[in-house]
Amino acid sequence: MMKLIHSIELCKAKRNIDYRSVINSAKVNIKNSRTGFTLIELVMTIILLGVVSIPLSLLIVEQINGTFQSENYAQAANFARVEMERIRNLPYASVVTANFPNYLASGYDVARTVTFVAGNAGSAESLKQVSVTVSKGGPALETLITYLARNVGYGI
Amino acid sequence: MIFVSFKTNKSIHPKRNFLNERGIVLIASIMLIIFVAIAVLGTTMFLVQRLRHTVSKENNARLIDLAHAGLHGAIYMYRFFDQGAPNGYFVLGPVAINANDSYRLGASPADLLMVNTTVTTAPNSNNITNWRLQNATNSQAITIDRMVVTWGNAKHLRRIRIGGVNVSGSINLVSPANVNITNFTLDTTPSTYVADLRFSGTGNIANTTVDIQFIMTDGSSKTVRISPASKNFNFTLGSTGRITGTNMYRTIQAVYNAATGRIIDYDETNTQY
Repeated sequence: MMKLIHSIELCKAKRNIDYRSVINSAKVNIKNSRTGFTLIELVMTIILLGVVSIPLSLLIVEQINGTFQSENYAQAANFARVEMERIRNLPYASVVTANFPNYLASGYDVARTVTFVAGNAGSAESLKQVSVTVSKGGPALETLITYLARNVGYGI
Repeated sequence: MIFVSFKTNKSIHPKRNFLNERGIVLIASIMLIIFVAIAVLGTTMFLVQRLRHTVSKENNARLIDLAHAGLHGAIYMYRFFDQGAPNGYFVLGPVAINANDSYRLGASPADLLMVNTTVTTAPNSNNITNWRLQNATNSQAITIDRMVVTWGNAKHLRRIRIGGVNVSGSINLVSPANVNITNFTLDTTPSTYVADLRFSGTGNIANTTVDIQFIMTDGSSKTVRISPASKNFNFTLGSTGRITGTNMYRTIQAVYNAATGRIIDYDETNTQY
């Protein structure tokens, strides 16, 4: 309405008092005003946000999982290495299959699996396969494998 | 003619701002989506890289154990065959531990040449006898091209004999004697070759040390003190750990003393077998 009044006042000032024309012109301008949202615009926005937010949210979930997974893998690798170093310092006969739940109070489980690849416990020469697997209440996060030959010492 | 425009008359619409513009919600939403998508993708790529880095570190740790597995596998084999005549040996090449993990054994000819000096004797002032040569593998023959003999007195080297064969011909050399011998091959059949040196001149060869540098046909060399007798009976072996699906590898090179049954030295090298 303010527009309309202002328009009429302007016309009067110019001594051109064609009120119908002025009113029509003002109506058109009000109709074509660039302010406000349209229903179509809002609907399109909602649909667009909905469509895009699904993969984005999935990606974010994956990111969170990946962060924890990376941390778990790194920790598991460290514990596997610790156990493998411990095995290398054990006497050959003491390297046997064993499980260590909650290894070093870490919340990780370490399983040591030892099998004879060649020979046996009574053989003069034998070869053991040692496998160290680390998990955290689920599938294996890290597995290290090596061989140990009987009575092989290190150093001069 | 009437033309009235209110588009720029801000005094009439004091509260109007760009957020009220038609279409701005859609544009802003698209921009927001793009921004969030870039941020999420960037973070994802960072995390993927971090995960790859973690996996790479894991593989790195696994590889060193696989390389160790190769060393122990070879030593076991050597010792197993060494229980019977004539001597121990191991097989070079790849060995699969499981579907993904494997190791590969390798060595230069000089590394594979074993010189047994545990029973070396000096029966008189002119001879060093009963030092023995053998090939540590049955996978490849190794050939000695030249020998550089060094000793600590004025005696002259007159002959080198390996496996009963005079490989030096007639010589009369002072120390250090660089002898271009008749190429001597230690083949893939496990064998031990007894060797001896003959000297002449004044002095006693038993009172000094005698070293020999063996130069193989490929240029690799090995120096061994053959007298006085010692527990110097080594082979050097390289073992490369591998994981299927990666191009990563790690190699350990170790010196195993067959006289003491110990790995007397080992180190990681950049060589790939």
